[in-house]
Amino acid sequence: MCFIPSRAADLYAPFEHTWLKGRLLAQLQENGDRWVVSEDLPIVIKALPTRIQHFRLLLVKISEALSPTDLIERLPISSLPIEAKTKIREAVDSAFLELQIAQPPIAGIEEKLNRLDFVSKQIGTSWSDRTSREASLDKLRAAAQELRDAFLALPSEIIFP
Amino acid sequence: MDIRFYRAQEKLGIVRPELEVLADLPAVPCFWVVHPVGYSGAWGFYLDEAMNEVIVQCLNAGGAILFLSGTPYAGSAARANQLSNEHRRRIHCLNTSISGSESKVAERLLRFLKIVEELKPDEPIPWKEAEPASWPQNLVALYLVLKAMEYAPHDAESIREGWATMEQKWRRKLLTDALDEYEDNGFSEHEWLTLGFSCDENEPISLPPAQKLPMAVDALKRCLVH
Repeated sequence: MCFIPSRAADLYAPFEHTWLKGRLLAQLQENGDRWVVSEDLPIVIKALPTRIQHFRLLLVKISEALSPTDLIERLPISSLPIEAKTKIREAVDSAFLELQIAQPPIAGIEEKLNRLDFVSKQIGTSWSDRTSREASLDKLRAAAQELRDAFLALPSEIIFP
Repeated sequence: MDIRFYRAQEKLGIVRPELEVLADLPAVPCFWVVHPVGYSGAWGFYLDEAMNEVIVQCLNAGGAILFLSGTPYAGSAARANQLSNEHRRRIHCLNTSISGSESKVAERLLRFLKIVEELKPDEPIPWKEAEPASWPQNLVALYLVLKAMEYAPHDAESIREGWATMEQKWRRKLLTDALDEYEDNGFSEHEWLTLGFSCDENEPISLPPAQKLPMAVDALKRCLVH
């Protein structure tokens, strides 16, 4: 099997690996008990809406990075006339989308991203209510973990139509 | 060489127990597979005073270290190169990200580790076996051109026209290099010719005719995914 790694991981790793796993989930694990009794909303949770918004913009690029059209500029055919290259790109992309391989995991990520967004905003507004903090942090942990799992379901290689 | 894992179990699906503390390592040369969890990538792991001491001991004893992570190069390409260059290629950061034990990257790494197990201390490490094999660029290029023409017949003519505007030398090189890659994958020149490609220097360098496109697309795809 010809394995051509896609650039998708390069795009989502800073969010999924470094931030979601390495920061949010790790800090929830380490500091969760301390946060429950703190009046200040933790910085990592405060930063969530911005991170999520920033990441949403990358989703389209991630989908594109799984398509073989992402290779065109790295292949000898990059020197073909622009018109021919555009026709190739459009046709190959349509054939790729018809496979319906990339869309379900991308939709899964989008759904889990919405869930994390919702939960993080809810925490932001209800943080002053100390009685609900523990349950809210549990929900946040679950939403973050589900989003991570959704990332791991993405193919790591270019998919040929 | 003895292989030891540091927090890499999730990535590789290995069953052997992992080391949580590097100081537990025996004083023998070994090959470490390190997932630098909790550090700022391979570089952060390397800079940690306690870890650095053990890393140096490992390298001095003829061992080597492979860093892997969910991030390509277990951090940054520049730092990965720096680590490799400063340590006589005894440290390597995996170029591709590894998401979990089910991935093709993990499969390849497990094969690579079997090779490493047979090596003696100080023997060169064949790092290229750990990285994805180079892929047949010309064959992929040709496949995309033909697939586009097959999928969108109404655009086939303008793609052919674009192809025809390229220099003869360029077209010949792409096709002959693609044929080499086709043969490297166990397919024959005879089959190549039946797909409508020409190999004769005196013939015009053209793409297969419309009626042969489906067959050519199918054959190239089989070659790419076999």
